[in-house]
Amino acid sequence: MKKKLGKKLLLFIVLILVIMQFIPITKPETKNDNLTDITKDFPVPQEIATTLKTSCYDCHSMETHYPWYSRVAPVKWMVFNHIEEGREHLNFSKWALLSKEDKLDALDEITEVLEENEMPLETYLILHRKAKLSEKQKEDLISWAESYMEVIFASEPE
Amino acid sequence: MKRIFFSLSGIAIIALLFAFNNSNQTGYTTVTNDVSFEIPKEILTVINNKCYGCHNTKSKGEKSKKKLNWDNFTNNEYNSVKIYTKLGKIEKILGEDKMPPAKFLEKYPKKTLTEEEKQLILAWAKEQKITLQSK
Ligand code: HEC
Ligand code: HEC
Repeated sequence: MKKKLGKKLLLFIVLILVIMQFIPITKPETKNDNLTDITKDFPVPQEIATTLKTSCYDCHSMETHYPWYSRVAPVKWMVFNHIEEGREHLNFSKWALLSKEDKLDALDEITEVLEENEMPLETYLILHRKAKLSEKQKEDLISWAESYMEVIFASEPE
Repeated sequence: MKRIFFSLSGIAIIALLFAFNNSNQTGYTTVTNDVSFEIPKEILTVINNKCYGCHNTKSKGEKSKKKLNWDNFTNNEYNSVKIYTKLGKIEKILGEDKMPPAKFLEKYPKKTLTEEEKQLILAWAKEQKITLQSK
């Protein structure tokens, strides 16, 4: 009796998982070589650009590399949602389109999330070990953001 | 020895009184890392009534104080670049009527910024940004 119930439950779960795969959801589009990318707008030092690309670009740019598990629901839903929300908050591929105030605000927020260890998101780090920032990388990113803020501050108002 | 101690304490107390007096009567003026920054009394009154509670060093909300801490405008924490950035952010969120948070206002409708107060802060922020930049 118990065994039968277990089997039924398993079958049920498998069925749900299979059905999930057919629920339509739009995959956020990707685009490489964006003319408005931060690295085209400002001479970002090579190391900083590499860190940003390794640790942040999957969610905060149009150059997203989709991992294999992003094909499978329900994980797929979470991944797509992170990318959509992440881009909404900060999109390095559209950096040049930001106003002076918005650039300053974005850089200020970058220092905040780094100081609080909020980014990259925990769930992302589980399968992206390389994206984890070392203490030095974090400090370098923060001082880079602060010095870039000085440059923007000193620039002509728009 | 005792005398020195007492006179030093006296000076300290007088200095403290002056500090408090200053902040209550004429608004804050302090020299931050690189600029002298002033919050006039009329602005300070609005901020104290409508914003300060959630945005100061002792606030419970970690997020609200990390994003904007009014104490940091006058205690040397924010330099001119930070102040400029925060003022820009304030202009943006006031333009979108995002603060104080809608949820909070449901409970305390009196804390809503009046149009007049909003314009006052916006005008002040704009002017301060220009001044900061010209220094
Ligand atoms: C797995 C996806 C992902 C990665 C990787 C990631 N972020 Fe985010 N980021 C998000 C999401 C989702 C949000 C919006 C929700 C939130 O604030 O938690 C966000 C928000 C932000 C914000 C706005 C915070 C705010 O207060 O509005 C900043 C700044 C930020 N991220 C910076 C970074 C930086 C810098 C990196 C790289 C070191 C990074 N993120 C890596 C997903 C990601
Ligand atoms: C009831 C508490 C409360 C009051 C009152 C309040 N705030 Fe906030 N404020 C918050 C919280 C919480 C956040 C963080 C919101 C978030 O990003 O999750 C915040 C964020 C902000 C931010 C950063 C916004 C962002 O998106 O990064 C600014 C600027 C701000 N508040 C300005 C003000 C001003 C100006 C006033 C007064 C008119 C005010 N706040 C009153 C709670 C409050």
